[in-house]
Amino acid sequence: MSRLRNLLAVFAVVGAFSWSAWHVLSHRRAESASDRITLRVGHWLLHAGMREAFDEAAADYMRLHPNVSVEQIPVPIRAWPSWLRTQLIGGTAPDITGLLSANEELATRYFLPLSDHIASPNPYNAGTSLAGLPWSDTFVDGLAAMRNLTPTSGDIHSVNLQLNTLRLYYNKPLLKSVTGSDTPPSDYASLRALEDQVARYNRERGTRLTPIASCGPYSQYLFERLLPSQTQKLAVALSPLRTFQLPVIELARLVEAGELSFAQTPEFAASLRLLRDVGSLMSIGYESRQRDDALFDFLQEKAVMIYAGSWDYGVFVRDGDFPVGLTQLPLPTEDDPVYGRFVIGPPSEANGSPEATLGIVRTSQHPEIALDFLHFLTSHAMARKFSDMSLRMSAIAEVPPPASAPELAPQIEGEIAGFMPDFRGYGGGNANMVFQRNLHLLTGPTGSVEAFAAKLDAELPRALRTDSEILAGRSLRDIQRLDAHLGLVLTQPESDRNQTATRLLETRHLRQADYLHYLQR
Amino acid sequence: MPRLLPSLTLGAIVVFAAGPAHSAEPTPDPWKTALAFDYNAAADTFAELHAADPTDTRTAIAYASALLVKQPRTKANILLARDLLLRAHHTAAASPDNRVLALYLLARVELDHLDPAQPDSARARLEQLRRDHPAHALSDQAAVQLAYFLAYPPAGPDTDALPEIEKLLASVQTPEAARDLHHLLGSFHLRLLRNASAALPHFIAARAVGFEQPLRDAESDLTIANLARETGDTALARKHYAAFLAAAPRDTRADTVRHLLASPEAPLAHPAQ
Repeated sequence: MSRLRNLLAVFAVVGAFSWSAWHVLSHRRAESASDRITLRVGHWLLHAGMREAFDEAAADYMRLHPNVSVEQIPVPIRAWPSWLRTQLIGGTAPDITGLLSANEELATRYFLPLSDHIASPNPYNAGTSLAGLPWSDTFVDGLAAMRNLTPTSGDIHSVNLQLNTLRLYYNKPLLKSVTGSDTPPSDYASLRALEDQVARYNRERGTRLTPIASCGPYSQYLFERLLPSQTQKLAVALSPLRTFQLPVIELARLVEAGELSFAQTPEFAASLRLLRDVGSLMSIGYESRQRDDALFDFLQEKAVMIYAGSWDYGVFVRDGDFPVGLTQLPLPTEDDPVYGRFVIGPPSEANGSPEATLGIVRTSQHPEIALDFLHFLTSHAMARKFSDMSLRMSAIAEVPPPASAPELAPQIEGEIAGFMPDFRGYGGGNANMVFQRNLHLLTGPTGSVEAFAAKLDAELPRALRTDSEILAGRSLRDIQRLDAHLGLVLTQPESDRNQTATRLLETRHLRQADYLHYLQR
Repeated sequence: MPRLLPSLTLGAIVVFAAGPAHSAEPTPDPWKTALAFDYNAAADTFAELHAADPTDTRTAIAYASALLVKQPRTKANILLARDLLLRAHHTAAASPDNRVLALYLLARVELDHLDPAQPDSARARLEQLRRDHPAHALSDQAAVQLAYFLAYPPAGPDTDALPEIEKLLASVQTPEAARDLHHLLGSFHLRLLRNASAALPHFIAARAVGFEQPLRDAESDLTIANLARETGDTALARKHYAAFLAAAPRDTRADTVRHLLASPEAPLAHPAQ
């Protein structure tokens, strides 16, 4: 009996293996026999409309190229980082694969550079307003965000189909009940007045409405748009190379050296005051809540507004039982009596965060077809179709936002941005932790700007020193890598070189200058 | 024997499945492998090539380069890299280019790879490179490294080093080295001496050579335009604001620059105004 069981197990395994082998071989044979090419596209974009848009794009492309079959492989976003690494390392990644969570090393090692192609026009834009433009210029940001992913080589390994923007969404009937009008606040003072209006509404109706539904990440998005209004002029004044930008490493140096102080620098104090101010409009305990909590509050009409991403618009339209309006977050203007002093003007959104980033893997059997399909996907016509179907913002220039939500379009016109005072993402995150850990001193019922500022001034310099040491280690490793690449490039036959030694040296000098100026201890 | 049958069958399946697929694959080019960040695989291949022909200095330098970034990073690998570079530099049969490259990399290894660093030895090698191979492009790059030595001694930035750095600038021949020295001098004048007028000509000279990093020319245009505005040269400011806009029309700073291009005298926020 035991022997029979063993034999059955063997037959089962042999059977499964044979079927798999036959399936793979017959698939390949059929492909080669018919000259049919299968192009696979792996992505994490499972939101409403995205898969349908990919299907439409594939069908349109296959009509133009009957010998090509395009298959999409959607992967849930939570599984994406590990799936991506496994597929890339195993050499089984789809021809076109998304670069979400890919760092410079993954991008360079596993994805083909597109730099040689971005200067040429996208052939699928023929006959449109983008005809003849270099491919890179057909993207709203000129592919700057994609270029920033791989600073060592300076190559571009991916293109992005869409851009994310953030908007203030509001429940139109509820807003009208609370304020008497369904017109959203047009300035910061009107937004701020919502606290009293909602409080009065709650008293009169016995309800527990919140002005703005929020959570940890979404409150951060709001702060990142609002607070820099107070540091616009300071960014200009302190920009070390007069580029209107204050790198966080310079900000860290100034705070560490005591040249800037949360208690003494008026722009910092104004930022903190604004943070406390707007925090009172949000859900109680917003810092520890998650995205779903905030979305449920808004969809279940427990909040009048929510500051959320363009990626959420489809959710509100689909799942909300009420008409949704959307608008730009009203920021303090120059004439704001409380917060106008440090404002230059509403900042540009030209640097909106890229979404749907796709590249061609080095293991692709059909890189030229994959490139052609990327051209097709990022053409004006296809980008428009994607935008309409997914209700999201295209990254392609001159493609209008979804017809029902023109407000999603990034506001390209605008002034330079200021900076956040919270050191998020700097070094090992120690300074940001000090900021977050003590935030209750500012936002709590007895919170005060003075108490929070004093705590930051006392604790930040030490945390910044630790963060700078961590950054120094990273910076040195980057310099070491550039040294190694220099040795490799200069020993390569010239005909094989696809980057210049002078460019590597220039990049290393930039890193060295920052390292020596800021980080050498 | 029958008891072993299932195991043997499974073993055969695995061997059949995994067996022949990789045997015919050619060895990938280790230079391309390393430049695609797969340093460990490249270092292994370079080690084999170096063992097969230890006199090939090109392979030895490439092997040393891969060892500098092979993971995990070990002192043994860095020391082996230094030894390989030393031998390459002293190999009489090596090409002059490879001997110079080995010397330059030796200085870099002693400065930023060895722990603790050996700055005196590194500096001596850079000076030797300048002395022995003055016409080589890497001699000018050694001058840039020496300028960093002078500008940033362990005690912190040293503005007294400016005349020495100016001398190095006067001695280099390649435009890239001159550009990076101009940029260093411009930054020094601006950041440490707060002297916009002295910084401006250096930034202009660097921009005239041009940068290879994407959009760095545009950044440089913005620096020059703002400095020109600060120092009252509105014509120069306009020229470089326009260049910035032409190169980066969709930058987040473009609108602000458009306003300044229209009226460079208008106040913005800089303390100089």
